[in-house]
Amino acid sequence: MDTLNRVLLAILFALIALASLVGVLLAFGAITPGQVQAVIPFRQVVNLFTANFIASALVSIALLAIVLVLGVFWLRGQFAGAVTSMVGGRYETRAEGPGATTTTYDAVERAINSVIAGIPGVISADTRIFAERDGQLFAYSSLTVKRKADIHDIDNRIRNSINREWLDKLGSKLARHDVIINLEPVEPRVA
Amino acid sequence: MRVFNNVLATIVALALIAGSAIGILYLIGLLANAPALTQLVQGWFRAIGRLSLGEIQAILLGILVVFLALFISEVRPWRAQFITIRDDEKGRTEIRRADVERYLTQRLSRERAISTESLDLIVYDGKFDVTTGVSVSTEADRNKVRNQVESNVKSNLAAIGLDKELEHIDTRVQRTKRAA
Repeated sequence: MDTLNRVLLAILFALIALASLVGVLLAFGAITPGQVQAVIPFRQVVNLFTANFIASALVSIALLAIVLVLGVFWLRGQFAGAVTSMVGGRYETRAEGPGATTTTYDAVERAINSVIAGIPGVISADTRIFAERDGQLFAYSSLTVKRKADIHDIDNRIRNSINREWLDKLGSKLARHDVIINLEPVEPRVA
Repeated sequence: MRVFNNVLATIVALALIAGSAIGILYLIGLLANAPALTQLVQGWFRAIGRLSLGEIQAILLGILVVFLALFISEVRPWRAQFITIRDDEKGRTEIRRADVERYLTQRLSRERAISTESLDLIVYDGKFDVTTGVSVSTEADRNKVRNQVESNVKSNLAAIGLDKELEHIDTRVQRTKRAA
């Protein structure tokens, strides 16, 4: 979506900048309408409207309808990746027998933080659980690690500790766990 | 920038939808000979018609500058914010590029007789290049400086386990300081 946004915005901004450049040059008298007409035959377009208004108007409506539909698709695309924070929410785990166990998402977040914080080299962890539009849950952990820590080692330890088996014990159905690693900002002083 | 672009794309998409819907209503109004539909849009054009030449010039110049700046911001290359360590069905692990740059800059600055002017990571497909700019004494040996910089960067990346992602190191040596 990022690339599509950039391409479409670049094309639209270039067209608007070009049109306003022509407007500026016309307004300051640097070029004449005749010179613009030589490049873009806008008078013929105006003439089309006067010669056969109904046909031209219908074609214009069709073109505008296409722009409108494409605009709606583009707008929908902006919200396709929207996620909902599960802060304060809770879920139920039903096992054999009567009743159900209710767990808050905050408890899962804290459990993940606790596991990550126990990994050597990790200074702190902050985890949030989100739901995608299709209902799939994912966790997002932001960690601060020591500068001497091996990033791959930390990643492997996180993946080995917070795995399907561990999540099943909590009854959590996380589909994915994304991790952002931040290096501690300043070099620790050596005594 | 990505969030800004999402907001920008949302605004532009809404403008396209609103603009084309107004255009369609106006044309339907003309075809159906319904003045109620056409008067609103005509009102806006009347407002533009009342502007003086100076005002029109200023507005057009403003639009030109704003949209030229926006166009340049869209086409210039964007640097990746993260280095991807893992991306599979379990999830994605990333480290901030700026953090690694700051870490390497601080470590390189500890080297004797070298001043770090710049250090940039260019990230692509999970790999990255390091571009450094250092200033040294006029008497310093260029090859020795280059080896010193490369060794420093490689060993510090190895210390945090990121040496496998390194592709190239480019070193730019400036001779700006005199030997004491």
